[in-house]
Amino acid sequence: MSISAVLKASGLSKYFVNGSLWGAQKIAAVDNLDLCLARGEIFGILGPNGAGKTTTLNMLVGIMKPSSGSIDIFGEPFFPGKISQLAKIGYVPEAASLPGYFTILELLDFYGQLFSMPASLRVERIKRLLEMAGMVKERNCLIKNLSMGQRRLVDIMQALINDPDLIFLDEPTVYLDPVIIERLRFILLRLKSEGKTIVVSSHMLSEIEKISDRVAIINQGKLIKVGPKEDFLRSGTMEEEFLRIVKHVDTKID
Amino acid sequence: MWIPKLIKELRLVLVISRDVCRAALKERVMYGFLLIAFLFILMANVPFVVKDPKVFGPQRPEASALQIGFMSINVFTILISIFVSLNTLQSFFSRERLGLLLSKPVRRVLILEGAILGLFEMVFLNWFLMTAGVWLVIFSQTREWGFYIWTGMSVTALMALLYVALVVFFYCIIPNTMAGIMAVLLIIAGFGVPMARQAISLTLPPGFVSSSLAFGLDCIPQINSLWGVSMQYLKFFNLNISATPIIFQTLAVIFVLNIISVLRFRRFCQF
Repeated sequence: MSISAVLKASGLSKYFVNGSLWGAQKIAAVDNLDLCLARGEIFGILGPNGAGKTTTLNMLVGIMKPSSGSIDIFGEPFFPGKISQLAKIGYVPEAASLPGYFTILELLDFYGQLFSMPASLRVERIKRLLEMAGMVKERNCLIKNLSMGQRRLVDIMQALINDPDLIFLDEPTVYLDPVIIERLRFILLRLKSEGKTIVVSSHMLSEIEKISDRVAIINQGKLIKVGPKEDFLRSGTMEEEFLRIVKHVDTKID
Repeated sequence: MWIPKLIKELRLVLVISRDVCRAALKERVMYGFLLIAFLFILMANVPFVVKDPKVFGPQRPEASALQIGFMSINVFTILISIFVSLNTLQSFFSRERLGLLLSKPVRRVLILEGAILGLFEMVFLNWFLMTAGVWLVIFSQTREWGFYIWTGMSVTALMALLYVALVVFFYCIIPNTMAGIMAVLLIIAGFGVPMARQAISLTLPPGFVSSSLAFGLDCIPQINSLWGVSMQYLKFFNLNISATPIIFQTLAVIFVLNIISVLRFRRFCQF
C-alpha cells in the first residue's frame, strides 16, 4: 500500500440471506470490491438505486460487518467494533434520524462529547461549523423545526465536529435545493483544500462531475469502472458515460 | 493508566444516558401515566375515601392512604417502566440512529449501558415524584416526617429497575413490541414461583433435578417477594420476610440480565 493511501478495501463483499421456509437465497449486495483512496482527494461513488453504494459505505465506517474481504484505514486494519480509527472519520448517513428535541447547538455538542472533546474545543468547533454552514442564526432552533435541507446541513455538521481526516457522505444532496447544494459544494472543496479525503456516494451525476477527482461506478454490487473523472468525460458528459456503462452491464447480465 | 480510560468511558455512558433519559422524558405516554398516578395519590387525601370501612376496614385513614399510594406507585411504575422504555428503545435503537452512533468512537457496550442508565434515570425520576406525592399526602394527614415511606418505597424503585432490565433484555432478543409482552409475562410468571417451588418439593425427591429446578425458579424475578419487603417497611402487616437476600437476589438478576443484554447487543448491532 502506498504511504498516501488513506483507505484500502480488498475483496470486500456483503451477502444478505433472503430466507423463507423452503430455503434460503444468498444475495450479493457488494461483490468483491477493491478500492484505494489517496489523501486529499474527493472520490465519487456512482450507481443506480440498489447498486450497493450505501452497503459499501456502511462497511467502510464499521456499521456493517463485511461477509469477506479486508479494510485498512490510515494503514491499520479496520473492522466493526474497532474504534481507534473512528475518531478520525466523519460519516453522513443517507437517512439520519436526528432527535427532534435537540437544538442544533445541543446536537453538535452531544456528538462532540462522543468524541471526548474538551468543552472549549467543542465550542470553538461548533462556532466554526455554524459559520461554514451559514446557520449561526438558527443555532438555537429545535431540529424538528428545521427544513429538510437544513437538517441535511446539520447531518453534515455533526460529521465534521471531530475535524475528521476521512469523510463519508451518503447521498448528501438529497432534499437539498440548488442554493444549499452550492453551499455544500463550497464546504466540500474547502475540506479538500485542507487535505481531507472525501468519499461521496450519489446518483446525482452532475454533482459528482463537479467536485470529484476520481469516480467509481458500482452496479449490482460490482465495481464496473474506476478512474480519474476525465476518463468518464472523454465521450461526453458523466451522465452519458454512466448510462452507457450501466446499460451495457445490464444487457450483458440479461 | 486504566483509571483515565475508565473515567472517559463513564463520561461517555453518562452522555448517552442523558440523551436516552431526555428522549424518554419526551414520551407523552409517560406524562399520561404520571398524571393518572397523581390522581390516585390525590384520591388518598380525600377523607371519605380513606375512611370507608367497607373498603379499608377499621384502620387509621393514613394507613388507607398509604395503601392507595403504594398500589398506584406499583401499578404505574410497571406501566412506565415497560411502555416508556419500549418506546424509547424503539426510537433510540432505530437503524438510522444506531447506525450513526456506531460510526462514532464509542464501544458498543457503552451505548447499551448508556441506554440502560438513561432508562433507569427516567424511571427513578418518576418513582421519586410519585413517592414524594404519597409522602406529602401522609405528611398532610399526620404532620409527621414519615421517612419510613421513602425506605419502603425504595423497594418499588428496585422493582422498576428490574422491569427496565427485563425490557432491555427482551428488546435485545426480539426488537419489537413483543419485548414488552414478554417482560409482562415473565413478571406474571414470577407470582407462580412459590407455588411451583412447593409443587417441586412435593413431587420430586431431593436431588440434582429438584435443586436445579429450584435454582431456575430463583432466577425468575419474584415481584411478590419484593412487594412483601416493601409492605413490611411500610408497616402494612407484621410480615416476617428477610429483606436482604431478596434485595440481593433482585440486584443479581438485574446484573445478569444486563450482562446478557450487552452480549446480545453486539449481535443486535451487526446489520
